[in-house]
Amino acid sequence: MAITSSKDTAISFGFLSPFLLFFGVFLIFPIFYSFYLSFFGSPTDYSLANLDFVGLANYFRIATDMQFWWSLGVTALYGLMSIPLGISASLALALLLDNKLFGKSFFRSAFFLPNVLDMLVVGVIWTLIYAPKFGALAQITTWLFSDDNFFNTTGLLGSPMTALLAVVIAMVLKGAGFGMVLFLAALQNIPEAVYEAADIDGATEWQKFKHITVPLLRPIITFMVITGVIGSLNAFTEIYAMTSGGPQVVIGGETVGSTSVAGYYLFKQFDAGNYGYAAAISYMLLIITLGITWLQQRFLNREDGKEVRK
Amino acid sequence: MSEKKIMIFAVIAYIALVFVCWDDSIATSPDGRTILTFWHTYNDQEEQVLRGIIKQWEDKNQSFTIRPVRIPFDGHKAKLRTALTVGQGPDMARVDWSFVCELARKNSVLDLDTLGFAKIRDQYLAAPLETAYIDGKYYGIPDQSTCVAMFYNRQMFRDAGLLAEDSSAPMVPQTWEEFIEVGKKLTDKSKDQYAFAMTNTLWWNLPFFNSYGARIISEDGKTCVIDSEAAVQTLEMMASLTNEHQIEAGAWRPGAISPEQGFVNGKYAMIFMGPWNLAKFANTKLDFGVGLIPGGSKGTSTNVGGTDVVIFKGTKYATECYDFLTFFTSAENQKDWCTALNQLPINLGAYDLVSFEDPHLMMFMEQMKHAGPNPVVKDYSLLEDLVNPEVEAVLSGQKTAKEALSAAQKKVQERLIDF
Amino acid sequence: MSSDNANILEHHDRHTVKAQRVALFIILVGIMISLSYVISNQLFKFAVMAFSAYVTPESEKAVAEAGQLMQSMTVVYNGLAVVLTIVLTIFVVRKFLATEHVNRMAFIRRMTLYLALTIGVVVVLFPFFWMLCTAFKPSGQELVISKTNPFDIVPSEPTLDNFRRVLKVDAASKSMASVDAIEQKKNFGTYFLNSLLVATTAAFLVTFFAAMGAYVFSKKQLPYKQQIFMLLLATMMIPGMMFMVPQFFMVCKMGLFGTKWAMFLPHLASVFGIFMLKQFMDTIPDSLLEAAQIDGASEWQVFTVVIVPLALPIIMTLFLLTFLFHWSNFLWQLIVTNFENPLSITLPVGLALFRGQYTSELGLIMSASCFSIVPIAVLFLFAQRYFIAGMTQGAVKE
Repeated sequence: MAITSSKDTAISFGFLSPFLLFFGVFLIFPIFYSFYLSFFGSPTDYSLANLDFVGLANYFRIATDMQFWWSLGVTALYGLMSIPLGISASLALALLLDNKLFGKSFFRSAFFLPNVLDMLVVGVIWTLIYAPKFGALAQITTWLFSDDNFFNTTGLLGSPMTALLAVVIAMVLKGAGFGMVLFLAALQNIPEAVYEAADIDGATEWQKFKHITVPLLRPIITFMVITGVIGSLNAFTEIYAMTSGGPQVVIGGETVGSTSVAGYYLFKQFDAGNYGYAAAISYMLLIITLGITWLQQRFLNREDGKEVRK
Repeated sequence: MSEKKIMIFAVIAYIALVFVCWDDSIATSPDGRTILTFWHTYNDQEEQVLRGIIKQWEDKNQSFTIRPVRIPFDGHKAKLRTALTVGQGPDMARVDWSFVCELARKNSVLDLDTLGFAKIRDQYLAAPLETAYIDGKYYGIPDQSTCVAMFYNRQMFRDAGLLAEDSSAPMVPQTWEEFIEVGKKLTDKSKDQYAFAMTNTLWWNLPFFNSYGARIISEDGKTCVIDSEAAVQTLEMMASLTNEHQIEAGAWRPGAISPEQGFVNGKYAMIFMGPWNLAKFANTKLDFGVGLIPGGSKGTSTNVGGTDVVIFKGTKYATECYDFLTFFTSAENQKDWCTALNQLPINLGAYDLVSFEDPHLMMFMEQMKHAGPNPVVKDYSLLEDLVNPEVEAVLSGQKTAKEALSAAQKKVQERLIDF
Repeated sequence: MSSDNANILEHHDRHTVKAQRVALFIILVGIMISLSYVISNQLFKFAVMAFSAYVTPESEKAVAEAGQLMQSMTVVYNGLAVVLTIVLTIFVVRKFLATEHVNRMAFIRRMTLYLALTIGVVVVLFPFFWMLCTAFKPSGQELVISKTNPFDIVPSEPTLDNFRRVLKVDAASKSMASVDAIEQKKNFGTYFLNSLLVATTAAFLVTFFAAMGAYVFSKKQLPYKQQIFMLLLATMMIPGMMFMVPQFFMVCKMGLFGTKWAMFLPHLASVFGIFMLKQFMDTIPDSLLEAAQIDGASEWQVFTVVIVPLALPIIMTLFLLTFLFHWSNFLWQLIVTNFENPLSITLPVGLALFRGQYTSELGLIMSASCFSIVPIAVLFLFAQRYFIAGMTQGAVKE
C-alpha cells in the first residue's frame, strides 16, 4: 500500500468532496435543523419566517397523540405483513424459474415489469380492481359465488380488517419481481455439486432447501428485510393512492384510520401547515429508526457470530 | 448497433432534452403583458366560460393578462397554504367559503373595503356575502352560491315503474320513509343497481342533519351540539340506509366507486349533487332530473355551499385584480355565466337579466329556500377531520350513533371551541 | 430424475399409476385449454378493439360504429383464439404421447410448472391490461361490465376519446393567444419530458458522485476513512421520509421551490450507492491500479480507465435504480411542485392533479395513467437484458 501523504489525502478528498458536500448539506444538517424546527409552532401567517417558539409543546402533544402512536403500530403491522410476504413471493418465483425452461427470460421480464412502473398509478389501478360492486375482483367473486360475498359488499379496501392487507398484496405483486431477480442470481451461483453431494447423502428436497439453499440466500434475505423496514417507514404513496388512511376502526373507544401509516400521518400534518409538529414527529421517527437499526445490528452480529462458531 | 453507438445516441438525446426542457421560467408572457395569476377550482365547462370572460377583460386592459390555473377542489386549501408559505402564491384565487376565515386570520388576503368594495357590496346576495365577512371586514367576493339537491336517473325510475313514460314531473320521495320504500324498488343487486349513494363528509351530510333540525354548532357558536337527540336520530337513519335497508351502495367506503361516477354510469338512481354539474351532466346522454331532498321531522332541507374570490396581500396589482374580480362577478357577466352553465347568479342585478325556465334550476331555487345553517367555526377543515371518522364508524357498524356523536362532540369542544 | 423409483413403482401397480397419470394430464390439459383460450381471446379482441377504435372517424356515432366494426370481426378474434388453442393442445398432447412412460411424470410436473408461471404472469400483469381496456371505454360506460362472463373485460364499444382529451387537456386555451405557450404545455407530454429529465440528471449525478466516493473508500487513503464510512452507514437506515420537513424548508430558503433543481438536489448523496459500489470495487485487485500508476496514469485516469470500466455493470445498476427512484418519487415532487407552472410538474404529480380534477371519469384517469406507464414499460422491454443483467451482477456482491 502506498504511504499516506498530504497529496494523497488531497486527491482522495477531491474525489470524495462532491458526495460529502451533498451528504453534509442535505443529510447531516437536516438532522439538526429538524431538531431545531421541532421547537416551533405553526406560523401565525403563512410565511416561513414567522414561526413561533413553543418550547417542548410539540413533544408534549406527541406524547398524548393517540393517532401518532396508532400510526406507528400500523407501520409495524405493515412491515410485519409486507416483508415476509414479499420475501416468500420473490423466493417462490425464483425457485420456480430456477429450472431449465423454455421462455424463461419472458417469464422473468414479465414478473419484473411492474417494478419499473409508477407507484401512484399502480395504486390507482389496484383501488379500482378492489372496488366493491364494480371492480374486477367483485365481478369475478360474484360470478363464482353470490352477490353477498365480502368482495362485492364491502370490498377489500372498505373493511378495516383487510384494507392494510389489500395494500400489502398490491405492493407485493408489484415488488416481487425485484426480489426474484436477486434470488435468481444467488441461486444460480450455488454450485450444482453441493446439491449432488446432498443427493448422495439421501437428503429430501425440503432438507436441501432448508440446509443448503436458505443459508446461501441469507445475505439477500437480510438485504430484503432491511429495505423492507425502510420501505414501511417510508410508505406513503400507496396509502395516498389507495385508502387515504381509512377505513376507520374503533379501538378502545377511539376512532382511528386502519391504514394510517406513520408516513401518511406525517404528510397529513405537513399538509395542514403544522410544520413544527411535523418536524417533531420526524424526530421521533428518527429516534425510533435508530433504535431499530441498533437492535438489528446487535441481532445480526450475533447471527454472524453463530455462523463463525459453526 | 454497438453499445458505444447506443451510449453516444443516449448522450445526444439527453443533451437535446436539457436544452428543450430545462428552462422552467414562466414569469413573462410572450407579448410583454403583466401576468396576473388566478387559481380556481372550476370544472371543464366552467373554465371555458371563465376564459371567455377573461378575454373580454383583457381586451379592455391591454397591458395585463390573466393566467387561470386550475387546482382540484379537493386539496386546494393545502396547495394554497404551501404556495403562500413559500411566497409563490397567486395574485387571486377562488376558494371555498370555509377557507376565507383562515386566510383572513392568517393575514394573507386583502380587506376589500380598502379597494372600494363598500360601494358595490349591495349588488351581491346577502347570504353568500356573509361568508366573506370576517371580524368586521369583507375579505372576498362571492362568485358562486350552491346547495345540493337530489339528482335522480329518470330511466331507472321508469324501469322500476315509478315514473310514467311521458311524465317529466319530479317524482323524488317526500320523506325519508317514502325514500326507503322507493329505494327498495330501485335497488337491484343482480344488476349492480342501487337507489342511492352518498359520500361521508360533514358538508355532504348536512342535508340529512338539517332535515331533522339537528345543528352541529349552537347558534351562538359557543358549544358543539352534535350529540343532540335529533342528530342521533339522523345518523341512525343514515346508517339504516346502508345497513338495514341496503338501498345505499356503500359509496362512502374507502375504495368504492364515487356517487358521481356511479350516477353517470346509470348504476346509482339518486345522489346528492350541486348545480355545478348541471352543464356537465347535460353533455352526457344521461336522462336525469332534479328533485327536493326528502324531509325528516323538520321537512326538506339542504346545506349552503359556495366559493369566494379573494385577493392576496402578496400581489403588486391589487387594483387590477379587484377590477377583474368585480368585472367577473358583475351582473352582465353573471348573466352569461349562468345562462351558459345553468347556475344561479350571485349578483342581484343578474336576476333581472336571466330568465329561469330550466326546471332543474327552478328546483335548486326552491331547494335553497329550505337551506339549513352551516356550522361556523375557526377551522372548518379540522371540524371535518374530527367528525367524519366518527360518522364512518357508525355507518360501518362499529359504534352506535350515540357513542360516536358524543365522542365527536367532546373532541370538537376540546379542539375547536375551548382551545 | 429418479427413474429407478419410477420403475419400482411401475412394477408394483402399473395400471393405477398409468391411469392416474393420464387423469392428471387430462386435468392439466383442461386448465391449459381454458387459460389459453381466455388469454388469447382477450388479447386478440384487444387488438381488434384498438384497431376498430383507431380507424373509426371522430363523430357523434363513433362509439356505435366502432362497436359494429368489432361485431363484424368477432369471428376473427374468436377463430384465432380457437385455432391457437387447438394448435397448442395438439402440440402438447403429441409431445406427451411421444414421451416415454417413465418420463411422463416429469412431463406432467413441467406442465404444472408452466401453468403455475402463466397464472402468476396473469395475476401480476392483469391490472395493467385492465387499465388499458378501461382507457378505451367511453365516458358513462366505464362501469358497464359483462355480467355473464367476468373474464371478458375488453370493451365492445371502444373509443379513443379519452386519449384525445388527455393529450389536449384544454382545447379552450387555444382562444387565448397571450398565455398560449404555457397553457399548451399543460399536457402529459410535458410532464413526461420533465420526469425524464429530472430522473436522468439525478441518476447520472448520483452515480457519478457515488462512484468517485466509493473509489476513495475502497482504494484510497484518507484520514478517518473508517469513521466517515461508519457515519455513512449509520445514516443509511434513516428513511427519506424523516428528512421531508427540514429539506422542504431548506429548498424554500434557497429559493428553489418549484424548479427542477428542487426535485433532485436533496437526494444527490446516495449512501446506499456508495456502499454498493464499494463492495464491488473491493473485489478489483490493487495490482491493476498499481500497474496503471507505473505506466504513468494520473489519479483521474486510473479512475476513468481502470475503475469505471471494471465496475460498469454495478454502476449501470445504480444508475437504473436511481432512475426508477426519481421516476416515482411522488411525495417529494408533490410538495416542491409549483402548481401554476406546468414546466415544473412531473408525471406522478400531474397524474395526481388530473385524478383530482376528473374524479368521476375512470376512463380518462386510466388513459392518463397509460402515459405514465406505457413509455417506461416499452423502454424496459427494450433494455431489459441490460437491466436484469446489471441487477443480477449487483446482487451477487451484496
